[in-house]
Amino acid sequence: MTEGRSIELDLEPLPDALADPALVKQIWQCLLSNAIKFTRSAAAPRIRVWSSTEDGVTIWSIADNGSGFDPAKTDALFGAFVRPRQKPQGVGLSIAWRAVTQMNGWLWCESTPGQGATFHFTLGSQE
Amino acid sequence: MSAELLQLNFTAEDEVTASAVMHSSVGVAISSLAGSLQYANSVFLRFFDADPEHYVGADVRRMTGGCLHEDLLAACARDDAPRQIYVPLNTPDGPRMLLCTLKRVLHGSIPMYVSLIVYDITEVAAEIRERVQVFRRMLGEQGMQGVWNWTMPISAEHLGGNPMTWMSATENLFGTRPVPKTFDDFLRWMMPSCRARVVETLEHAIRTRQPYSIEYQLMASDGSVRHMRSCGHCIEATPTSRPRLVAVEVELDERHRSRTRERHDTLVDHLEIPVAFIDRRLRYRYFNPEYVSLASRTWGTVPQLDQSILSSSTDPARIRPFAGALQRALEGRLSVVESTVPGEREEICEWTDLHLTPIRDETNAIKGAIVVGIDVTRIKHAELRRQHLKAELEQRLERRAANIDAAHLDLCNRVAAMCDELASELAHVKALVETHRTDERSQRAREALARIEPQLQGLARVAAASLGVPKRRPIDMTRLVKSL
Repeated sequence: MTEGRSIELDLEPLPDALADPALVKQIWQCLLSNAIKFTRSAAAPRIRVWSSTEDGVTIWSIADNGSGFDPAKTDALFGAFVRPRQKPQGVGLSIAWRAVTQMNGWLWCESTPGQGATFHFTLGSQE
Repeated sequence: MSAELLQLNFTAEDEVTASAVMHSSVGVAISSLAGSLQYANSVFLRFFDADPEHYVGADVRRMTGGCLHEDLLAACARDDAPRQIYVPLNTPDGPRMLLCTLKRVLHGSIPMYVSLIVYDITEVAAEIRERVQVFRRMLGEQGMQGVWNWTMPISAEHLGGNPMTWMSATENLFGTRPVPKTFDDFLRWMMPSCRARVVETLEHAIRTRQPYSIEYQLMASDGSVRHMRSCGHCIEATPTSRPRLVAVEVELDERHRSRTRERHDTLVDHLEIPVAFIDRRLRYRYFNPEYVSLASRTWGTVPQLDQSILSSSTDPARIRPFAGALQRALEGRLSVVESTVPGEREEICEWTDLHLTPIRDETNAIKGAIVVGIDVTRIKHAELRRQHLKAELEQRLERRAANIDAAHLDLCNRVAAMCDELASELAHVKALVETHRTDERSQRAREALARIEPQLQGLARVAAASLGVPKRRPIDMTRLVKSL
């Protein structure tokens, strides 16, 4: 998955969740794949994974120090074949978004071009 | 032997035979009677001589003990009223009993003769004596069964003033208070609300000579109220004699309780459910055969009456849960306690459900508990088998679901990879088309791409939708992310 590159993974201890294992695995796979893909240009690629709780809802987050994207294109980010970044974009985020929404969760992101991107998601009532 | 009993059996003279009649001598008549008693029941004779001494021989005096002689003299000498005397007679065939009626017959004021009617009442007297014994025994038994009887000659105009004669065991009914001497006394034992009804019923029975039956309530000396039934009728020995009310009092409560107890014992003894009664000291007061069987199979010991369950040879560790539940029931903390006692026999594990219900007395104090046991071994075994099968089935389902999930995930990944690949190719083609924008073929290619792109987007949606309906299982997130 890392394409033979050395990427620093900062994985904080995560709480257990109650959800569909296949869908959750797909979400993480898509988001990690996306993060790895867009840290190609980084001198010291780093991915951080953590969780937090707001109003009793667990928020799962993944951040990278890659190229980031234009926040203006965030709305179109999760459609298939949208290219918010410089390189061609596949259906990964689209699948992740659909998996999250299938579990009544939310998937959103924030980014500053050139400084990486951060994706957050919740699992809704499935947690 | 009382005169009353004899009166009942000797009311007519039809049975008088003449085997000894017309003998001129009383002595001869008696002697003849003694010899012919086996053939005749009675003799009738007259004698005319005023001096009966002449007719009574020494042998007769010897046989009768002299009593007939004395009475005969008295009958001849003094009054004209009939005299009845019982004469024991020693005969060669054994002792006999005679009933003699003596009467001096006058012609005007002149004594003409003395008539003597002799009845042999030996067999009858024996039968009466036997019946009296049976009657007295029955009186005692009926008193024990809650049945009493009384008789009341109706002489007074006012019913309540008539004297009552109660059977000897009546104190069982009335307790320590004196037995009522008159009907008014008897009425005072009754509940006031019943008195008028009882009087009216009895007066109607006396008036119509019809049997009566009525229920009423009696206040016993201990303060308890007893439900009674009175059945009786008015009888007259002769048309000229005074009527007499004869009645039987039946205690319905006692009979009802007795029947209930009998039915209960019979029912419990034949119950197929194990039942036992235990008092406050945890001693068995009763158990049926099924309970013995259950106890022996559960604890390996046979219960004994009046023995505490804790003093039996049962292992204390095994009997303690049962004793604890029983103690709670006896303390009234729970009205019904259910306790499952697992047996530990070598060949089979026995399970018993015990239902404990406290028994309360009249003051609501707990005096014991009813233990009803149900052997639930087969049910427990079936439940254990069901749980085992359920666990096995769940494991198999989980394995199959994991396989399906893995296949599903693999399929999704492959579809996603294909989509990625297609997207890359598409982007490449688009770039080429943009590079050669003026080329006619590029124009056609652009048009073709415009047609294909929505289809590719639909393919991506299908890929996402193929993820299916989410399931809900616990996930170790840290481990999951590390595995990726």
